[in-house]
Amino acid sequence: MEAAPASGQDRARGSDEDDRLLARIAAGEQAALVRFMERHGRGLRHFAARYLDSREDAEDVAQDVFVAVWKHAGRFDPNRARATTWLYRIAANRCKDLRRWRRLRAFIGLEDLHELLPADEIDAEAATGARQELARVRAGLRQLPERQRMALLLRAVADLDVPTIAEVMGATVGSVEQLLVRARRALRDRAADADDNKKAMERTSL
Amino acid sequence: MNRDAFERLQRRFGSNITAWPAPYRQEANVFLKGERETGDVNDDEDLDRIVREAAATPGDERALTREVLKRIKPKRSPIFAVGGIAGAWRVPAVATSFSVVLVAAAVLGYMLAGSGAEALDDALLSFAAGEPIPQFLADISGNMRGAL
Repeated sequence: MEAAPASGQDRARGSDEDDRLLARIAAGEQAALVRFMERHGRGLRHFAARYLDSREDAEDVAQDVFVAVWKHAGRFDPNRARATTWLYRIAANRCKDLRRWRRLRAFIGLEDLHELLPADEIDAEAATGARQELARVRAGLRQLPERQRMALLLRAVADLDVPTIAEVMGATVGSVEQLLVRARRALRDRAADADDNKKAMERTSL
Repeated sequence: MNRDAFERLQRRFGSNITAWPAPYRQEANVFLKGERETGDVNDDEDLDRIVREAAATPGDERALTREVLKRIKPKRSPIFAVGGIAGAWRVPAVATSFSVVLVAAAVLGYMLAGSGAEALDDALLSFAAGEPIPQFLADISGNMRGAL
């Protein structure tokens, strides 16, 4: 077995399986939906959780997306798009709707936007010091503008290429490239700042 | 990912990891590549890999499957299929036909009741005016007998 990154041919194989599964889902086969969820549920949840900054909302989005897949699998046309593109487009739209809804609720005072992902996750990580880098990246993701965050998560978590991300986000390839460059730069700057702070603290403690 | 998790996924998705779904494939690649290096993140791929790791959130996938299957389960149709009839009202021709039938039935019923309807109207008016109940009941029964 080889650890080579997925080639276009390998991705096509995975995509073929998704296409077949969607055809079976469209025919009303629940086992195919279960298999489809096994393949994509985890990635979708991670994407939604980090984009929305809320585990519960991510669960809801994942459920909504797969229910939509069940209802509308017949509309999927493998000649027009890859299954993952279609799936993540549904997820991205659902996430955007949810964010808008949350903003409205925050505006009328029904929700506090800062109470979403549990703070203990960050504190625990910071306290143990074992996974500080990941904690820093999470915090950095949280502070990225929405579109940059979505582009980066679609690239890193969903493993979509730039043209597919552009299709999912309804943007041009150039603008997605820009979003990715900015997002990565912001995360690197943040990491560099954290390193500088750490060194400064070490110097002062000596 | 550790060896156990890797082997579990292998049983689940097959031995060709390049055909695994994205998050599993990426984690397996990292696992097979060995311990990741620490240090500055200069390469886009390295940064994406860290973002992927950072994005991981615990969750119960079986619960997701369970909830989705619960939501897509076909609902049993009620004994009295009111929903089906209500849906028919959305079709203009059906709605018009039903309305015509209902109006015709009401007009016909009023015509058949004839003078009985007037007597009943009188009884109800007297009840509304505050007549005692026994008197009112007597009026109704008298009127009904008269109507029949």
